[in-house]
Amino acid sequence: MQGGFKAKAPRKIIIVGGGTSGWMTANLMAHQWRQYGIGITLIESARIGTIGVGEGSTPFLKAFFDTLGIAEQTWMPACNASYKCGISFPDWSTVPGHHSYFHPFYCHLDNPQTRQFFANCDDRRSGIDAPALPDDYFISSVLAQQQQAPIGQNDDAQPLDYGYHFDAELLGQFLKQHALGLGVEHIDDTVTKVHQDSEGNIAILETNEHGPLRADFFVDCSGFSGILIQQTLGEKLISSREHLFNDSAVAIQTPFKDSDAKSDIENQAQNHQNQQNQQKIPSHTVSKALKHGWVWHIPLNNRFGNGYVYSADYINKDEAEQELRALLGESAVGQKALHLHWQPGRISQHWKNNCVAIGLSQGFLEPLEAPMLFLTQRSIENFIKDFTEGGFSNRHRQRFNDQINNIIDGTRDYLQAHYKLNSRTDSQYWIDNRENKKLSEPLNALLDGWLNATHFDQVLGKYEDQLSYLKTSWYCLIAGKGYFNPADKPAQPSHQQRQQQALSASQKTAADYFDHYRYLQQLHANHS
Amino acid sequence: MPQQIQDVLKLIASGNHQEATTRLLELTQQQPDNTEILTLLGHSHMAEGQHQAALTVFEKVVELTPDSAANAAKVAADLAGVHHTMGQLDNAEQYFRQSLALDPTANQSWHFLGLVLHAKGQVKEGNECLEKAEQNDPFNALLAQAQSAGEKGQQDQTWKICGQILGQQKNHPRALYMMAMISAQRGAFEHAIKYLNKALSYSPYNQSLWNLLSQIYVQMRQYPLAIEASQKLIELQPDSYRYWLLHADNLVNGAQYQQALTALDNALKYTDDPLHVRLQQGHVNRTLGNTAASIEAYKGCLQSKQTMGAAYWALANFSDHQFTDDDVQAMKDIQLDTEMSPVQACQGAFALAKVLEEQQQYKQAFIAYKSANLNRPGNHFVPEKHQRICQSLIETFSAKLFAQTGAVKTAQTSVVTPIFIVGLPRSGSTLIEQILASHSQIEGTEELKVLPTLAKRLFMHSREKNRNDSGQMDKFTPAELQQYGDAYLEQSKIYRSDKAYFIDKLPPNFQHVGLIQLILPHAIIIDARRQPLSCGFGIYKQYFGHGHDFSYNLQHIAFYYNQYLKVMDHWDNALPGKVLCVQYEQMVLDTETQVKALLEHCGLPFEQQCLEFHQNKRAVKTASADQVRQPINRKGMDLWLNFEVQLQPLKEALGEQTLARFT
Repeated sequence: MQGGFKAKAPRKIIIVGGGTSGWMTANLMAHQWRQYGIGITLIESARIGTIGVGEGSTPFLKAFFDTLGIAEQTWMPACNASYKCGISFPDWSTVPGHHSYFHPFYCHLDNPQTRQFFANCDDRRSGIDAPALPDDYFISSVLAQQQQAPIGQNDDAQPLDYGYHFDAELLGQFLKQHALGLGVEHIDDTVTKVHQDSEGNIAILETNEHGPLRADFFVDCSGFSGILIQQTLGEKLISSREHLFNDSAVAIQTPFKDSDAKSDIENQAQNHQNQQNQQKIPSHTVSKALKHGWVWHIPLNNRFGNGYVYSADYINKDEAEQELRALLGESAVGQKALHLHWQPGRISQHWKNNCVAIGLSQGFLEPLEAPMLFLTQRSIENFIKDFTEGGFSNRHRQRFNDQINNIIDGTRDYLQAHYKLNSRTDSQYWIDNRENKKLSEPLNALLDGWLNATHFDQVLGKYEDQLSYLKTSWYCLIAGKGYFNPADKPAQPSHQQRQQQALSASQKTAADYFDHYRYLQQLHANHS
Repeated sequence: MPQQIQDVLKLIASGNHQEATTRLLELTQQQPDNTEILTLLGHSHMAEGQHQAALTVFEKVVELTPDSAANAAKVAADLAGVHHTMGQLDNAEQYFRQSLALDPTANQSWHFLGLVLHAKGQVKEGNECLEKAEQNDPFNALLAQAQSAGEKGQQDQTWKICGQILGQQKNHPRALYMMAMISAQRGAFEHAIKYLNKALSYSPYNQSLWNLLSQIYVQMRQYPLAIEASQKLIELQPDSYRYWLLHADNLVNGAQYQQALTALDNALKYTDDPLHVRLQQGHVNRTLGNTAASIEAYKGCLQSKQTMGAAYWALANFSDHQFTDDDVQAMKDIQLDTEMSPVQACQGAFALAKVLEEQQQYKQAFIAYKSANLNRPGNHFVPEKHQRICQSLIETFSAKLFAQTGAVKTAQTSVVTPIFIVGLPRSGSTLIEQILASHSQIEGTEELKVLPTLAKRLFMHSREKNRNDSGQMDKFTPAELQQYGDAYLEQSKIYRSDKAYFIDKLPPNFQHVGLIQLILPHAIIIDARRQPLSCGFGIYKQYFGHGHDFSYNLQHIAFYYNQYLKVMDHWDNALPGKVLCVQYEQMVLDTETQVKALLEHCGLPFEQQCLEFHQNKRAVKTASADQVRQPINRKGMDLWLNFEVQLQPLKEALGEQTLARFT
């Protein structure tokens, strides 16, 4: 309509690349912009395939499904998904009592216990030997210890914040089907050439089987190759290799059941035993430090996903695979290994001209703390908001790019803290990480302030805008690793009390929540 | 004294002008030269309709007020206003000008001076004054805020700001314009029109208002009213090419093709972009069957990147048109030209694909078809939503509902019987229409939008009745249903003359068979059906100017086809014998038998000229315009076989069950 408010919305958007990020983008755009009647086409090449190992999320993913109106009962069974209450970090630290700690997904119900935790940590920082391991202070920690789901058994139970584990391949397929229902067009083809107009905007994509394709706006979900944002528009990857050494991973899936072929009777006996063993499914990710990196164990509804993340400067891929297979033991025999390699870093203009990069084309840090899916989601959400608020102009492009860069750099700092604070001495890898002097200003100030400042809050406050993780997460990480000056004063009974009270409060709350395995069974049964 | 004035103001505020006048007259006895009291008295007279008395009072106020007084401009404007109300235009002009000489920022004076000059026939000067009024509008800053909020998608904020403005000036035209726009975008057309009419009562020469009004009537398919509005626009600005073009568009929609050609001639006079007009001339001449004039117009459009894609596509639709090698090369060049607009590039690709198909380069042709379809701007079809609509139709218009309403069947006294032809596009519906329209008792019209528009209104009505979105029909009384039937016959009148039967051919009306049964139980319904692969391919090959959003994707076409079968099956179950299904392939192979069956279904005697339909000179606007002006041939039936491999996705999406029905 002439002079209308909608006139500037693009009529056509092309998303290059499927995978989780491509289909998340397709769904959110189709849903959020439904009143604008924008045609959305997603082009992906079945030949190229997707990375598909990002299998854990943070609590933000729930909002994604809520926005689309997709219930857990619908998507979780379709993706073999399970619940995630947090992440445990065994073997990063050699400090007595801190060999392992838990980074929980906390929520407002934890507030009273969190205050006890902060108080003990702060006393510990001042030299009192107070118990400061985060594991005893959060409901999610208790749920994870007891392999419970973060879902209340009755309506009175308060909703908690939690993440998910899922099969990334299946999630991609699920999101694809949903997007098709919303009218997104899907084509299987390869982009062979990109044409820009006189202003440098992307105008036409040539393909093998579908001829030239035009759109007003393009989304680059093409993964590491970044064929639009990097290859066409010339964005360069800014390396974070000096902060984060890891650049490789090897992933192997393992089944819940032993798959060794034995005689039928033996099999039956074993199956029975496995079923007994299987009555529990963990509700957290394990991120355990190994000699040259760390390994993830992600429990889905039907199997484990495992992967060794390491630096190729310290071991080669065969050694890494061997070390992982040795760790996984019999369950990994005959299972295929998938090797991945990346340059840790990011581009600086995620939105450039008439193109926005979403997912691996924006760059990639590493899988620790599962931050990249959140970054993808936040990039799409922010882009939709900023593009809409700017009347579909580039008015808010700078704001968008600044915010995304801030999130990535803040995440980089939090991840680097894991390595910086390790206390292992068994390999040069860990020593180099600990002795790495290349720290951002906020991280440097934070670690220094933790040991020396009276009020750590003031340090956090000063760098608030540059941090991607909240206060509680920083306390969990630093205290969890046991990073303190030596304690010269003994703990008081009040310190033990704080810990005991917090733990029993969390345990009392946790009693209202389902067993993880049982709840998943129920979800799947309702689905089929 | 101030207390007495306060009392009077209270009386005025409560609307008691008679008492206020009495009091004020008393006060003037005491203070005959108090301009404050006199001004109040003047307004009070006006409120009571005593214009002459008001005039005398305001004249005195002007006399008493020196030019140097702060309110001198206002006083002159008051007097001008009375003259204006009394139709004394010259006096009104004089005093408005006097007011503006004293205060050139008085936007109300500019506004009313504009109205006065318009009324005197000085259109150009009038428009200039109205512009000045807008420039000096005290609400400009707020209006800019409202506009900017709207552009950011914060329409609630826009609405709020406009509400604030209207609180201070109840008929502010630009605030009402924005509210009308928001209402229209939300589908609340009736509200939008109410706002616009309110704004027009204050600002009857405002072109934006008329323009929006015309566009909203187009969206409501109320073409006669849209034509009235665009007529107003060309009167207000007779040298505007855009308004002539809009007017021509409306006239085409209202089936007034000759007048449309005249409007296009006028548009040509006032534009430096004549090709856009030439394109429309091509379309209208094609509809009228003026093939030579049409082709000439289209060929003229090949010179510009703004029109060449559309022109190639239009030319490709003449089945015997021969393109030169240069033409074909030009169509190919369009495809990678980054300066070409998507609309032109897309139509160019459809044309290229058709040419390649005719040259039997099937592989390249199909790639071009895929590219053309993918590049169609705004092809936004949402399968989930369509499925919900079809499902709710089936549930709402159940056999049970027909049984209930059947018991109180309305006595249709109408002398005219509509024949609805429904189905999918490219399924022979234009052919059936052309055959029937060749019968002496049947009149052909065009693709009427009357029924879908009524269906929308009816849905709104049902929402009021049910207080939900179920669309349920059981609360409608027979009288109400008959009103809708009468409205249909009334609104379709402009497209027909006086024959006993007329055709309403709009394929998507297959969704409304149940509705037709309720509001026009005597109507005849024909379903044009074609084998799904040949139909699907026919649809996929076609660029439809607007609508048929499902038709640019093979999966969407299959989905739509299957939903169509499901809905038609439902009508057959719920209303046995109501709909005659005419299979296109049988019509082609055995025309005479099928034509006789058609006429029998309509209850009409066979006439030989129905078999010579291609000699019928009536206007035809659809994609099949050229085809139905030739005798029936088998040409189109097996074209899809050349693309059997590429159409595999269509086959798969249709599914075994559907395909088995056509073997």
